[in-house]
Amino acid sequence: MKKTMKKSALLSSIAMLVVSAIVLTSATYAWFSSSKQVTVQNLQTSVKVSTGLLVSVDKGDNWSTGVSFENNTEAVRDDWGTGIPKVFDPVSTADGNTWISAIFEDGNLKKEDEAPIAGEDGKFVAVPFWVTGPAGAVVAAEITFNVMGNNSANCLKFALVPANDDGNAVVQGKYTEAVAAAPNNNNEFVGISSVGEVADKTEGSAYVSDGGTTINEIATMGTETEGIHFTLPEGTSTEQPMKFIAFLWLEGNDADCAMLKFSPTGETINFSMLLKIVKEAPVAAEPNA
Amino acid sequence: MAEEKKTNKIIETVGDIVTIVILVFAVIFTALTLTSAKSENGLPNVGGYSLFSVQSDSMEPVFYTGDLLLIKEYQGEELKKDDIISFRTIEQGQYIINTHRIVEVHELEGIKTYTTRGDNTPANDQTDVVESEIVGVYARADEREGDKDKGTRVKGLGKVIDFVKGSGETGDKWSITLNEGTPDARKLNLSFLFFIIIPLALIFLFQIYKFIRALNDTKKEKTKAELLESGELSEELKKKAIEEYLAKQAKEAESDDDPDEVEDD
Repeated sequence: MKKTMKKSALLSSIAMLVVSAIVLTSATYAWFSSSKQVTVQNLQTSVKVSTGLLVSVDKGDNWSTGVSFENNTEAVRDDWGTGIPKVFDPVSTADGNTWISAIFEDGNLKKEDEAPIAGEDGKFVAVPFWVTGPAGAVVAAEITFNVMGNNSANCLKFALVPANDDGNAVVQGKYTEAVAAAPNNNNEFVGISSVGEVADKTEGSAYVSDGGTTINEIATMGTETEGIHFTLPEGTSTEQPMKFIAFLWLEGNDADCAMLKFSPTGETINFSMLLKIVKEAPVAAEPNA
Repeated sequence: MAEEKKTNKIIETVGDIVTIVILVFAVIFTALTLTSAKSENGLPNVGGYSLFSVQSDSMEPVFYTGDLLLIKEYQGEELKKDDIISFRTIEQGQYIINTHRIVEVHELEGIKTYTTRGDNTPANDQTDVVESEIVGVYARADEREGDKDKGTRVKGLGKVIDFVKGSGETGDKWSITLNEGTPDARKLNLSFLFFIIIPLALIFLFQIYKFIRALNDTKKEKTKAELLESGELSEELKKKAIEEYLAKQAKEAESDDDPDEVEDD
């Protein structure tokens, strides 16, 4: 009797030892699995659309009502990449097509031989996205940027341009006229097409911050006649959506910005664009019987 | 002596109960944590049901901050106005899970979108929801009893699970970041460490101790019996051993009659 009791005590202690070892191992594995990789880059971007519209960052393979630029899988051009740069170096452009590395030295713009590229390994953001909705509807946009007074973040500029699909060409259009360039330093022009020329303000681009406010609205929600607005052309559909390119860069043709680099670490910076139908598509007239 | 043995027995029983309770909780939270880590939407998922911890008051009085909701995985079934659904949405550039009521259903070229709204919010959500963003269904409109939604929730349990798992706002307060500012930065949950891992480690060490003790007890019995059988003992020692053995047997016979007594040598 005693021997049986001692034997069963030994067996049950072995069983409990095994069970506790398994649970401890599984729990420790679960603990490490659940530890989250903290993203170093804190530039958070989103494009959202309201009722009646859909947006895609993969040329219409997947439609959604909200996307992040980090999720885009299509590059604007074959020689550009996707995603957000680890470091924004100062660059400049007049049309979104031709880009130069722009560094000011002794009051002169110094151009580097190699043209900068977009994407995670590049120096600026160029993200195409596609929008679909009822043809003829007028769509307006609201763009906000949350910057915490970071000096180099103050030199970030944004431009929204329509584009066509042929060879990823970028077309500067009238859609962005409402967002005029607003240099954050006095009497400085930004955006040139070649080194050495005095530039006009680049139409359609704007500084994302006025130097210290927590929220900067680059553009308040437009209307059918004011602000950023566009009409979905005839034939717009999920098969034939309207394409835009969103550009974000550190303006180099600005003496106060050209010596800076911007690396989006530390403070979280939020960029968001909201598109909304502000005038419904006209209803097709019923043919007379 | 009998009293001491009774106390030891009680302590041992209580210890076993505590061990089992801790093990059960550890298994539950480990399963929740593992399934969250593996799932696409970050929610723990078991048998087609996800557990969702409410983070805001946007749906009061249907459910409240800190409640735990049982969400049935969305399989593509038809959804209607007044269904309450969980879905992924972007807020400040990050994907989060929201649980709100459908107020309108739209269709654009065969793609259905749902306008949603929290019962406690003044306006519709900023963006509609497409089907690919729907995680699950909390309650169905056609199962409503009057104006009461028939969903499964446990009041306040969401906060407990967030705390132990290290998720949500509650969990964030109990986390530390290792290698902060580097590409290897990782956020570790301290509450899971203190309330699950460390107690389990202590239980494991205690079980090692119990195992060694049980092993020693068994070895002692074996040694005495072996010596007697092998005849290695002298006549005198044999006699002594036999006397001791008989005395022990008598004692055991006594304790067999008394079920409260347990031998402990």
